[in-house]
Amino acid sequence: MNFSGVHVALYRLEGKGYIRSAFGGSTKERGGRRKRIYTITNAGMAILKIMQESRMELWKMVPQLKIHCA
Amino acid sequence: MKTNEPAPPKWTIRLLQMICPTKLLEEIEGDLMQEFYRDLQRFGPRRARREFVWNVVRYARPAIISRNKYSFHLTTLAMLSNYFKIAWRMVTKNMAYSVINVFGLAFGICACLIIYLVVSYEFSFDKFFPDEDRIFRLEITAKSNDKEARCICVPPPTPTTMRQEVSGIETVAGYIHFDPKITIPDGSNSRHFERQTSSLIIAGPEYFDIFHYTWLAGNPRLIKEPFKVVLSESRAHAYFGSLPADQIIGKEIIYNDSLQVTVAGIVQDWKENTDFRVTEILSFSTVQGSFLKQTIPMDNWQWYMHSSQAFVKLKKGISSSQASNLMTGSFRRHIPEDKVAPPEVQLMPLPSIHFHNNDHEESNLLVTLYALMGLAGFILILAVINFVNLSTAQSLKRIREIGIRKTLGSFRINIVFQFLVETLVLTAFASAIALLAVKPALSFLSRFIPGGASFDVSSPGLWVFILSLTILTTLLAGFYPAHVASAYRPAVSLKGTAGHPGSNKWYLRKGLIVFQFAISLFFIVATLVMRDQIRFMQTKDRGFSTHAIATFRTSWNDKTARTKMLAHDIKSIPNIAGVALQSVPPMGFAKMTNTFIYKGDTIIETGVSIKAGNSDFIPLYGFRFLAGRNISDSDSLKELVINDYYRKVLGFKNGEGALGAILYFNDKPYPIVGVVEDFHEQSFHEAIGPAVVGHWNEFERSIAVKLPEDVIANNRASEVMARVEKRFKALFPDEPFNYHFIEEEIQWMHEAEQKTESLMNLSMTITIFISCLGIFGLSMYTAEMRTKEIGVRKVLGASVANIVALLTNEFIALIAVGIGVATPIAWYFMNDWLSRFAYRIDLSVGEFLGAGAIALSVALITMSFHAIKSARANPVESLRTE
Repeated sequence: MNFSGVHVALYRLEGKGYIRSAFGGSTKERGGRRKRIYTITNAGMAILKIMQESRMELWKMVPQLKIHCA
Repeated sequence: MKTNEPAPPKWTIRLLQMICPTKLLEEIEGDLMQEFYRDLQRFGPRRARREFVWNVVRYARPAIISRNKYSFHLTTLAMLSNYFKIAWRMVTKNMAYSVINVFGLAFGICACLIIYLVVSYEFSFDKFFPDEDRIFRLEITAKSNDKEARCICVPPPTPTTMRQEVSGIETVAGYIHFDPKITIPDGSNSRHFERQTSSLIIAGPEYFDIFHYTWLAGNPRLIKEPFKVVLSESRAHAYFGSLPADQIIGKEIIYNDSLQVTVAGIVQDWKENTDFRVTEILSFSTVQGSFLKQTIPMDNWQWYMHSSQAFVKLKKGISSSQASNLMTGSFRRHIPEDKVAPPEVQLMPLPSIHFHNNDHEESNLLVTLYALMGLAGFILILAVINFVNLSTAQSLKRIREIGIRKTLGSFRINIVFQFLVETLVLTAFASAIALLAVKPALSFLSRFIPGGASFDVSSPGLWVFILSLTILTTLLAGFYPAHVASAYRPAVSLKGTAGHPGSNKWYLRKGLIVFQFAISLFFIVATLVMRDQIRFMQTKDRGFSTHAIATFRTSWNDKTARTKMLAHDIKSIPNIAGVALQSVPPMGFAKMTNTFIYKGDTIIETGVSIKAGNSDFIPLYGFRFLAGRNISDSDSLKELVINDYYRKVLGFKNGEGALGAILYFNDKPYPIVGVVEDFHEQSFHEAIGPAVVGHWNEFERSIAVKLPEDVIANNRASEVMARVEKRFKALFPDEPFNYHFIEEEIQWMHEAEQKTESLMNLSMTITIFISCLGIFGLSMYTAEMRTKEIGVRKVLGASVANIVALLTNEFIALIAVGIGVATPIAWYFMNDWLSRFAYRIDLSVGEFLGAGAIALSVALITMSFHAIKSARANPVESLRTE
């Protein structure tokens, strides 16, 4: 993941309302620029949970075979 | 910040500022800087910079660059539907104005549509040939100091010579028109076909190299052989019924009872619009072995006949001026030198020949088409003017609406857009009505419209035209009202004081009314003048009697005395007042001119029009003698009667002086035995010139029949002429019997003027109608706006007449100005039109006064409708609401 990719992903998530953002304080190491702090919203948390569950569901459907090598 | 501290390159920061929307910039910059300092510690300044640059560059992606830049505003859509809703409410609320606007525009758009159909039809001719840009028609022109002669023809040896002598030519094809009588032999029931003009040509195989045909049977090489003919599919069907093409090959056709040829090929007819009516092509080599040899002089360089024409296809990259120079050079080497008017070979591009189908330099058709396009434009502009006037006036009523829209956040552009949408709604209605009206209008105007111009809904060009016309009209009609309406300032307009009705600010509206009525007046004057001139041409004495005289031709190559016998036969038919032999009628399209010489004190050589006729000719037409007597029928001693004009040219003081003088024609002497009054020979465009009447048997191939008064009065002319036809067919079984009355031919000569006059009449009606529609709307509006004022005035004792005058004064003044503007323009153009006639009326003040009176009275009647209505209204009604 590179910087621009991260930013684009964040903007899109924000646009969909899954995360919220607010400016934090400026620091010297950022050249005096403020930091944008992202926090997850309830909707975002809910969708994360749904995604996690559906993944688990998929995982459960995979047969857990063990192969013994001679 | 310390100067030696490593920092990312400056340009990368600038690049980032360019790429990122400002909203995102701070955060991204911050993150990148933070990463940079971390990299600085981990990898050192060089790699840190490199990573930074690479990271910045990767931000140049659409998701970043265009983030938040383009968005779909739901409000725009909502407003658009609101505009349509308001537009519809406005249309229904002001029904009267909407109807006026829509009908005016529909008129204009319909006129444009019809003229578009005509123009696109006329411009579609001969555009379908492969290599049309390299195909040209050969024409011979000769310029002397004052005159230019032009002939769409070439002497017969020209094409072959050009092919041999001129470089740059791919093919040159000459052909010769031939109108034979056609027989299809079939044992005892042979079928005959009458001669048809311009459908048969004699041509070589080169003809098919220039003009592309699809061959259904046979091929162009066969046409090299003599006695072969190629038929078009339609022609072959006419001759041989529905036989398949390959079975028609080898069939026989006989021309003029003696030339027997066989069919060598069948080609498809051209489906596209074309001026070529050729359906039958006879091989050129046939000429040498047949009687055609005598009629077509294949090596005569002086034979300028319209029947012999040629087309050339130039090589690629050769310009037509280059080629025509070379051809002129070659042409002049073969003809006797002519210093006065050296002939030139000119090349007419194939797509232009539709507009240049006669020997005149300029094309009347093109002029007419441009005039029509101008007319369509004018009619549309008049309708647009109505629209502009009415909607600017109407926009006053909507000041409050605009004020509120602006206070609630509308920009000026939104108001403009709203008004344009309203205009579009009305224009779309108008276009729809125009589309529905085109068909009936076309059949109503069928006199003026060429048969091929039809309304074809499936043609994409038509729809493109309608669409662009609708948009153009919307912009023309809608822009100014939108501009005016959007300019009201909300603070002023909400107070309700802006733009008082009747304020003096409406210069544009006044100017437009003046313009409308100026145009209407122009057309009224044109119509009146043309009507007067046509009446003058119809009633002016022509110097002889044209009443109840029918003429018909017998046969041009009648070598026997059959024409004379026929004339003698006809005399015995009851109900015939007189019969005369003639070459051509005294007045008509045909004219024969030759040189006569008078050897008096000085030798006077004159080009004189020859009217050949027997001794019955002058009495039948009722020429009036000024001196002397009629010619006699003697074949040995030829006598002449001259017209008064020629008498003056010869220098005789009076008719008696000319009697006995000798004129020489083809070196033979002819004594003058009489002088008649001048008579018209051609249309009124041409001045009367010198003319002689004499008896030449060899020219007299036409017969004039005068019918008695009671036959004409009882409509029995065709009955009598049927009897004449019976005698005609007995002597000329193969010739068609076509007779017409001289009056008809004179009418035909002035057909163009008649058509122009009816077109002017129509334009006059339309322009007056549209202009009146406009002031009808405006007077309705003023009457409405001034209802209260009128009420007050009436209460204070104003009479109906006072109030009508009050309401109409302003318009009357404007119309008067319009008349003032139009009068000199109309005078100039009508004088120019009249100057093309040798015999014409003079422009009279009466025509202009009459036109002004018509314009004013029509306008007054239109306005008085509302003026009287509001003047008679009970003031109680109008004042009660206060």
